[in-house]
Amino acid sequence: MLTKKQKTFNWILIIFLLALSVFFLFPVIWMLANSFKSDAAITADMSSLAAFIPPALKGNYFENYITILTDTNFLRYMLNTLFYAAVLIVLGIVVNGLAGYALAKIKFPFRERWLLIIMMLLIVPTETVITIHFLIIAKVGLLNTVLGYILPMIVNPFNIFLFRQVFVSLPDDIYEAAQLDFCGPVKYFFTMVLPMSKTVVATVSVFTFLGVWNDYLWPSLVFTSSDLLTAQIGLNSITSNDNTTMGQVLAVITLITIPVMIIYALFSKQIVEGVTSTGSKEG
Amino acid sequence: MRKKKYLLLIGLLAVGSLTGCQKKEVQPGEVKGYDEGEEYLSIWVHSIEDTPEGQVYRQSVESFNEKYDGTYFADIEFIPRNDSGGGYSDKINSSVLSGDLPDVLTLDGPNVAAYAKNNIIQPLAPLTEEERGEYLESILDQGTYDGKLYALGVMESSVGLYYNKDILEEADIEVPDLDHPWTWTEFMEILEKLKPIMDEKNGYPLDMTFPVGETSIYYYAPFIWSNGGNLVSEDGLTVEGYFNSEENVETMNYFRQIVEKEYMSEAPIEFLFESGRAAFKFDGAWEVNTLYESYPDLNFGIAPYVVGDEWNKERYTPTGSWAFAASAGTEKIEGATELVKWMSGVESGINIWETAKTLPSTYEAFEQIEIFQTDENYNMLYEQLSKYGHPRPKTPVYPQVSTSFQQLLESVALGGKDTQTQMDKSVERINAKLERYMKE
Amino acid sequence: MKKKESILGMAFFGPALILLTLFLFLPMVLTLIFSFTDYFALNPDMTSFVGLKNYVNIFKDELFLKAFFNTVKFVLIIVPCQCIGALLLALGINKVTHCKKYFKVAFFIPVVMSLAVVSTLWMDIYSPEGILNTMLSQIGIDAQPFIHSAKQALPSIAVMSIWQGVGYQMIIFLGGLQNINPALYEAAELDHASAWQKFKDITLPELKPLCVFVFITVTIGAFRMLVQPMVMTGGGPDHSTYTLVYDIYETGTMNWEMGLASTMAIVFTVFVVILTIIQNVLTKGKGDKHVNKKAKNI
Repeated sequence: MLTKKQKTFNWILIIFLLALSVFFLFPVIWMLANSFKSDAAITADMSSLAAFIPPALKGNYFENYITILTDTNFLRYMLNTLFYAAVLIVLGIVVNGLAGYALAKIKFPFRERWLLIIMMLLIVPTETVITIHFLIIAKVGLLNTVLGYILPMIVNPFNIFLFRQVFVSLPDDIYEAAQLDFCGPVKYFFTMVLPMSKTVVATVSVFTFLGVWNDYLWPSLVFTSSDLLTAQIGLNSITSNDNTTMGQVLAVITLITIPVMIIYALFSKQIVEGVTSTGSKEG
Repeated sequence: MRKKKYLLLIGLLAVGSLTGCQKKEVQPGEVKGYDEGEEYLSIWVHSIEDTPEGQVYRQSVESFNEKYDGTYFADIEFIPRNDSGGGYSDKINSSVLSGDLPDVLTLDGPNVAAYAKNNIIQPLAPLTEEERGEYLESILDQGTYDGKLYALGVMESSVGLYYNKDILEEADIEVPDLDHPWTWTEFMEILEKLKPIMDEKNGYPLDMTFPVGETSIYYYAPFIWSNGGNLVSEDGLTVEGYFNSEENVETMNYFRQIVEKEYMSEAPIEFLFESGRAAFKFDGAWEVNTLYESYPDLNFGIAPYVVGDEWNKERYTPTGSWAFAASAGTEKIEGATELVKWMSGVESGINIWETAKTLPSTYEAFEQIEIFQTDENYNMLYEQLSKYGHPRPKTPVYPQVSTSFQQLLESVALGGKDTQTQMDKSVERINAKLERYMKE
Repeated sequence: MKKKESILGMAFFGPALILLTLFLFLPMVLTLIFSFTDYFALNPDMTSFVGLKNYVNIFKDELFLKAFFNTVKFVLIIVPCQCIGALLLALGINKVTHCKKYFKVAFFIPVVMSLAVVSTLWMDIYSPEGILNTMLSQIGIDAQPFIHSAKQALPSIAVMSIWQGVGYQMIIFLGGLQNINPALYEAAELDHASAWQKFKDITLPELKPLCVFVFITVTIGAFRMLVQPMVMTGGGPDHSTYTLVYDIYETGTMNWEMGLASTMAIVFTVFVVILTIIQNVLTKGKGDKHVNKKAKNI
């Protein structure tokens, strides 16, 4: 039982954290509130609490948003990105998951060596390898195609590492499955292992989604047809356009963040568990 | 045994997918409009289709294909580009390596020297005197390197010295005409006069900034030129003695004075001019339209660009924009030149004005567009451009010259560092980049 | 049996290995090779081997050294603040009895926003007449230039990055805290241990592996800083926010000097790898010491 002193402390802490969280989120609140305003209104409201409050519900309340959605192809870009993310998630889970499982459970030559190499690869910044990616994709004629965009992104050392950490703690039944014919282990992986590791699958899926959603440089190199472009490219062309108002910029930023927020809201439990497990187990 | 086969299959697939597919040649019929017998011309532009500029390019290509139906077919690709030029330049760089450049590509005017010197682009097929005469001097100048014409732009640009009519009237300051711009001394006096007035309005006489990127050299190199200085030698391969000349030291110090006397704000403040709290502002020609549309109550005009005290009527105002050129690897130079001429021609120029409000590149386009005759602001920009336009330094190491200029401006004017030292440092850096061209 | 297993392992690992080779190993090898050349993107045919010349030159290059120095500065600010901040938040949230779910979501929101989005948003917030300066003026502080001043730009961006990332590490720590065996605390309770002692002798040692992990990942992330300065300040003012990766990018893409850029990339990678190894060794050592001490007490 908590003492009275501890109970008071508890409530003080709660109130402190609540205040902190509101203060912490002030940029986001400001962004949301002002995404509905015209530039004149934004400047006018700046010096009062109205800066954080959306304007009164009027006829042109959603004007910024409507302009973005109707005058640009932004919606199309967002849908494209969702599609690419979906494909990449599936392929990524297969490739990285199998690899992670092998590293965790199957004894094959140089296994420990590979694990170390995977961890070292986490350091390489994408910007330094992206030109070579472009060259390779160009050489095999896959420029301006979805496959060309996805191919270099499928394998991901971080995800392999995540899978491996989780799989290590699963029961060791692969040996029995290996006795059966070849389909055994593969089927086993998809029908037993993956379902048992829902959290890491969810985590990896979310990370993959974020990676695609927030990517600018690579899609701008690969895609040249308008109808294949992604959300960040759309964001960039809108914000770098001199005629875009601050309110519109905020609206487009909000739009681009909404799907991610939705996903986080839906899967927060899995995400949290997944994020937690990334650090907890040592190899 | 099945496992072994499985592995073998994986191996074959991997190898096969790499070596196999070469870049396919586009065949007639594969792309809508590409008919048998037509010569295929590929063209890349530096913006996505979903912008006013992109739409103009699309229109121009389509009208080209109509006009040359049966002879040529132009196929256009839109490459995204972000503020710092990335994206598009990445694509060009990688394509140079993979040998995948299109027949026609766009490039920013100042990069003509570097691309030409490194054999990325080739000279265009010869134009007739008449055809050449259609374009503004500055366009021809920008696209020429080592005596040969490489590129033609559909858009030109200029920078104006915008002024607030009401404030100047209040201060009893008269704006001179194009041929008699204010000199440095005169301008400094004017700023001094405005200071108390602007202090009351919680503003500054001059809304000026030195942002990172191309803007700084674009806006402020004219100060160098109108003071009798130069940034690089004629052939673009020497900077010692040019970049760090005495005249240029004077120029940089002029900017320092403006900052010291607090005629401008050290940290950029948004909308200072638009909200009536600055009397002057340097901004691109595009700003006229923005001001008309978003700030209709602002009573503004454009004054001629300020010149050095010893100005000799030389060309000095900012110019330059993206242009079309033919890649060195294309064998269809005749067709490519026709396409370049079309994309940069009168009709395209008129379109680019109507849709994107960017200045066109041909005399006839300007004459056909009424507003350049009737609107005093647009008229001033046009006159300034055609009479006094000066291209940015033509040198293969332009990117370094541009960044050095901006850094110099920032460190001297805002940072108060010693001008000569900073200049000499810049020269060192630029020389390091010039080394590769000295080896020849 | 062993052979079957080996083959199975290689089959599972195979696809990933092929892709890794193609898109990670191959580029890295190429980068290494390029670093010994003067490969110029606009004129690949003129490339020649220059041995170690690039390596010597970059360490004489003022700009590279400045980028290096700035990057280290970023790391020194971001890593302690983000790690400690995350730990404190996690400890606080772990302790309270209500609103836990809300806190977990609230502090995590900036994490799901992309770096480009956060940078764009904070450019407005930091602007001279933006909301932050307005709020400061309410409590009597003059307007600050923030990202427009050579002195304040780097810390401003650092603070923003911490804001964006702290929620992520907080969740990790929370998970770790929840995994600590409550029996340990109960035992300490019986020994009349103070709150501080409980923290020092139980919480910290239990969290050691997580701390190491968080420390390393935040460090690596901070070293890779690129998007924020690129969007917000273009590396300025006066190159005060110019980072290593930014230098690599600009040298390669804008100046077309891919050979030099490759050299920088190699130096960068090696440096970070060494740093990571050192961190690993140092913190692992300390961790073991604590674990042993605790074991003696119980």
